[in-house]
Amino acid sequence: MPVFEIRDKSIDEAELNRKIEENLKERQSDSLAALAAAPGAHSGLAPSVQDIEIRDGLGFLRKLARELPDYKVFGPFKTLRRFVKRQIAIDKAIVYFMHTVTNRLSFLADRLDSLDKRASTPRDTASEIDVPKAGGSVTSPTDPSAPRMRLDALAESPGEPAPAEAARRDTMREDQAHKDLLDYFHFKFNCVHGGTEKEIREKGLAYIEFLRNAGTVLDIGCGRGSFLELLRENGIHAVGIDSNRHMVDVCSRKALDVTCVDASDYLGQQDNNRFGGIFASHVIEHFQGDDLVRFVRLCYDKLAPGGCVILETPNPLSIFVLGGTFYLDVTHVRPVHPDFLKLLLDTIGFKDIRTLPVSPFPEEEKFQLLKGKDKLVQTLNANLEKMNKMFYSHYNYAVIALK
Amino acid sequence: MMKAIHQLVPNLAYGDAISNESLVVRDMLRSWGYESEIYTDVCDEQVADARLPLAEHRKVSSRKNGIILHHSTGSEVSSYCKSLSDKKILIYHNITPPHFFHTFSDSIHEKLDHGRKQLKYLRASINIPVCDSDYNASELRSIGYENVRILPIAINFEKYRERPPCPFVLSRFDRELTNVLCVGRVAPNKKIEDALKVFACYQRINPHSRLIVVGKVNMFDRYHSFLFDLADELGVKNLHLTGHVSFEKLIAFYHVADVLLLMSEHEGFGVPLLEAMFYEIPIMAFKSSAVPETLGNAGILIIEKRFDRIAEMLNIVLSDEALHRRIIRVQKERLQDFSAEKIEQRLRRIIEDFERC
Repeated sequence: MPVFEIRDKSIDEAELNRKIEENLKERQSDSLAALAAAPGAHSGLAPSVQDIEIRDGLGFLRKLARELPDYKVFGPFKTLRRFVKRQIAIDKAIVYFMHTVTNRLSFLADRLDSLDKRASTPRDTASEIDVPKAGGSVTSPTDPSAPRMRLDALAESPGEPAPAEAARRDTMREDQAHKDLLDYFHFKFNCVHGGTEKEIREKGLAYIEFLRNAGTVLDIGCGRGSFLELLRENGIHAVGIDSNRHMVDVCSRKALDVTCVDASDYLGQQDNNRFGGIFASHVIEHFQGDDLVRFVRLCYDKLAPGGCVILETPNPLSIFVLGGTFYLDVTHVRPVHPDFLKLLLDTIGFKDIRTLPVSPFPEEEKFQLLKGKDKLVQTLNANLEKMNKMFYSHYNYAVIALK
Repeated sequence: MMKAIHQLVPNLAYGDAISNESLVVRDMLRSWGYESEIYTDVCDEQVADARLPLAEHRKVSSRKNGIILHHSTGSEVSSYCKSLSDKKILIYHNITPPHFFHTFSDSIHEKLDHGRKQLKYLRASINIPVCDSDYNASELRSIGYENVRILPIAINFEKYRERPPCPFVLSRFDRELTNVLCVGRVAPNKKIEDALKVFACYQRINPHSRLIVVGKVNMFDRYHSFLFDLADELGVKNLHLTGHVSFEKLIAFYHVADVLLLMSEHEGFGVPLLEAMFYEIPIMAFKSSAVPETLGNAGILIIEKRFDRIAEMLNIVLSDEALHRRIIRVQKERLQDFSAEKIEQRLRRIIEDFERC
């Protein structure tokens, strides 16, 4: 009787079966050794919770429960049996719970181990200059002069003693762990509050016309790549950058050309006049004043003559945005006023600067106007419209300009 | 044309295959211009926004509207549905045969039995019966349903692409050890004990391995404690029963898995098979119920539970690169048969016939 059925005929089933039987035979001849070795392979690990006998006290009852078949159970035994079964279930639950706890503990231990390892490798200067104990079994490094050289190096730089160096590395590691967490958090945040793919694409449609026939478009802070996809569908060559590696992973899975890098670093490394278009949606509100100026200047430098820059950001003219949504993202540094942005672009040398209101506030949620033609109603409506404009203006705006 | 086709589901659970399908079907119906909502009284809070309470359905119920009823275990929704004048499609998702639960749980047994009785009782009022596999269809036919259509479970793989795998699972279950994955509710019909036995044999070949069982666990269940007893007895190390996990974690487990081992003796459709195909993990599955139908030519079917031989095969699949590549390629091809477009076409045809009823 065959054990397997392989319907893909290009696989040689007979050959596989032969191999299996062969391997089995080999292993059986070696089975005693194998059996002896298998448990031993893990003897270095701490005993797992499953191995700990915690049911000693219940051994007798447990046996009783097992040995009393259903039809023999009557009278007080029935209650006892139910009790024992329940007890067994409970102690199993405890084992399961402890199992989870050990898992987590061993996870923590693993993490600690790997941290220890990482902590010790770059600090070999500190560990290897310890004088080996006489007759100690310290394995000699491949290059015997290495510790000496390190010692010399240390001697030459008395300004940076080993403990300070170690502390600096600890901080770096801590910073990295913190950045990992931040990246993941911001990714989640973007998934929840960053607008659905559909919304982003609908919004993006308005920009496509400005970027057509422009040459390579750079999407700064491309997020999950929705706009890049839209560009691709419209036959526009584009590359993206984002400083969050989770976003970049998502983009890579969509086969988009995206790099994980800081925007200013990336721009600084590019040739001047490289891009036909630069698109940065919800980026500039993350900059301090000076950095914003530098960023816009870099955009100007890297843009080819005639190229188009599009900067989208929350609209501070809407009180709803200012008081509500803007500060939802704590990494927002400050809102950017459209007049400020226009003046900045103008100063740096951009031309044909215009603003475009984006993402209108839903009409049904604004103050509703009254019906009627008398003067009082009209005055009231005019005021309501002013208030609507102030409170519920567009969520975002974009400034579009040419080099 | 009908104005609205609503869905009634026994419960809307986060991450559950039936619930996910009802969401996909709803979106398809809406895109064709129907009004479509999901009605149920039982739901998880993560998906609470996606449903309306059953009481609301009375208000929209009409002879001119349609209903898609999802039926699995016995539920009040099915009884409620019988009383309505709307035209009805039944999507039958399979009821686990009660004999699997005899030794382990009595209450589930009753519930499943109730589900079967309801199925017979609904028969006269259903316009179009639909199943996710031919295996399920044969069951419906055996109790007198005629002209049963097949609509494989619709999975929205876009969602799998978009969401990030949980980084903590990725680092905890990294590839230092070989990860054998088993996905499914920890219940007797899924035969987790057999996967455990295979794994015990495999661990003798490769001690650097772990078995990850992803699926809902009931801590006070006798089946669950039985599994731990067995693991003790077999000397299995590195067994992880994860319990019910979030979607991000599920994805992460697929990311780290080296092979999917499914020893289940009862699968109405086998969603994990498609997920493994999507994540390019070789599949070894026991040939039972709907498994061969869903796998098609892909993967390796197990027809006899000889654990030592299965473990050897597992070892070969994991170590023979050419074989591994070949399996993955055929699985990828098979996955195309379940693409969103194909499912949409099938549903479209069913809805067109529904309009004519």
